[in-house]
Amino acid sequence: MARTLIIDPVTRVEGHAKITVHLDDRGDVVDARFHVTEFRGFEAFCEGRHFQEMPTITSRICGICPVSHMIASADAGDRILAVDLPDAALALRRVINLAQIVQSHALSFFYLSSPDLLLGYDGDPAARNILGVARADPEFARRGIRLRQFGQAAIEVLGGKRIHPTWAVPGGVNAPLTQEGRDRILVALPEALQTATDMLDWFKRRLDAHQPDARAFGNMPTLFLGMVAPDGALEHYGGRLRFVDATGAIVADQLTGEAARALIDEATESWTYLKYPYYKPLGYPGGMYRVGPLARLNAASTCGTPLADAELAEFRQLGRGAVLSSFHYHYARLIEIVYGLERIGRMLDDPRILSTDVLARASRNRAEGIGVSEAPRGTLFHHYKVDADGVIRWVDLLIATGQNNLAMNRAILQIARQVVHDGAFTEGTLNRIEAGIRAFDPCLSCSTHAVGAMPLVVELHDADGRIVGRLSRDE
Amino acid sequence: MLVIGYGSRLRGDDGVGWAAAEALAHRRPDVTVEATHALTPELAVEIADAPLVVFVDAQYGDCPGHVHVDRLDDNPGAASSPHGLSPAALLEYSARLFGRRPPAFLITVEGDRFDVGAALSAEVRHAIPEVLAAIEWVERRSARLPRGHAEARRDRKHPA
Repeated sequence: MARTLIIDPVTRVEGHAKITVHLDDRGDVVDARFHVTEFRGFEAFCEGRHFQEMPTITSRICGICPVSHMIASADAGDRILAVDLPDAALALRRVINLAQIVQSHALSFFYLSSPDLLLGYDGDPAARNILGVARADPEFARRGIRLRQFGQAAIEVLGGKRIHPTWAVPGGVNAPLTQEGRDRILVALPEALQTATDMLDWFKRRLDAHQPDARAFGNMPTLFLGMVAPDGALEHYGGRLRFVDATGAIVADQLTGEAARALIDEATESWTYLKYPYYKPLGYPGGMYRVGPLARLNAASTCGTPLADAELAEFRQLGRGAVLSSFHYHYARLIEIVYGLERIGRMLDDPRILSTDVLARASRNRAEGIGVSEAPRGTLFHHYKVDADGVIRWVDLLIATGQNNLAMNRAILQIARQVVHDGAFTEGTLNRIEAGIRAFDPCLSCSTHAVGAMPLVVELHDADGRIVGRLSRDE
Repeated sequence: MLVIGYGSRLRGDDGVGWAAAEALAHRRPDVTVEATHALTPELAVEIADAPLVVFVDAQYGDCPGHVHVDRLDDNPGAASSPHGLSPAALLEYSARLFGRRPPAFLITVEGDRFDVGAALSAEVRHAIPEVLAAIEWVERRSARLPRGHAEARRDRKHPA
């Protein structure tokens, strides 16, 4: 009898989703699907508002990565104004984006994924959370919390608030950085960098033990998309975009937001609200590509900071060309934390960061603009069309999590085939499948909405949709 | 004293924690006030340094605007999600990771509507002065309570 195994909701991700694993008569996996079960439709809220308001409005899309939306939106607004940013404004937006990446990556690694890495996929589910981590290794948990706090404090210094700051505006930012603010960030930087490098070492010592995960967690050839500087170095804001293939060869380079967006199309499936973006020249689904920390490290020629470059060289030993396993999102995330902290320190050491020339003033000069930022989870596009008064008439948001949708589905299918045999499964089996999604650190809040929490329930359905088995973590 | 008001400002009466926190920050500049969407682990750092912690949240109930005051005991409760800890779990973080679990209270206000995009209901809006009075009542009373004493749940309005 054909059966369907359902994981609903997926836990320790930002938002709501479920996974169904479809079994054939022999109990072998024939398909696996990642369903996003919420619909938000944020674009429609924005029509009729002025484009100058958009950084504030769109930062409300997400409580985890509001900064990414704020600065992508401001970038789109810069295009509509048709202005060049003052140097200090661009640098400050880069600093706040990197601070956000540090705090978000710390959340992903320490709060969401470390319970699996520290306590094991088969550990007691009741203890397999951040509180369990705090009990098992208080120092590890303490340092993770303080690292995330560094990123949040830096965002608060720059943006005035740690969540939903309203500081970036079309044309620049609405307040310069003060000497006192710069010093507050710099004084906390050494501890944060020490924690980041120690955690990277901690993770690398465990790599051998996780080789089975690295082989099975979405280990597949795809394209990768990431932002780079003019010299090809890693960049997260104000750069150009680059696609590379699974061998690491450059497919398209130095793309503006407009040029990159023109290469991406979106497919839909009836069983999920999340669309399936793909690289248009290769068609659907052959144009599958990945974004986020793994993609960025695969796309960049170098990091451009000493500690991160040394780590990147070691990281690249994992692949022939690009590093293909989605398990290594964790590894890439930790390298990006090191990079982000080094880069923040370098930019804050430049006295020009304190310039009070942080806003270019203009009115609407263009009818359309595409803004881009590298959010923690990947490349984020904000595309607006405005009328003669600057009122928004059309909005399209291409979110990082959506761009990983094809790859996430492929990853859970690969994992399910490895761990589900003859229709038999345990809680640990299900957690491994979930962990495959968790490696991507999806943010469903960005694409939909997140409310509340539910216990994990797994149901077995036969070919007629009847429930023939049930497993709950509460039972 | 550290006061943490939490909830979603986009979901009607769930925003009462924010509203109370903002009102208190205006009235009592000597108090450390945090307004946040959810309780996250890094708040444990501030909690460990605070002599007294008061959480302010909304709750479901039949009497919109009704204010409850509870002393938090040592039960950590469910860890829930990493961006949605319970106050008691956060206090356990503080104790385990930063060596201190200060006395703490939870003040909740029964809400009427929690729809996306809704404003505070009139009943809950009118309860905010009472929430501020409750915070100050807790502040006065905490000085008289022995450490570790768990006060029974108060289901009537507190004596302002």
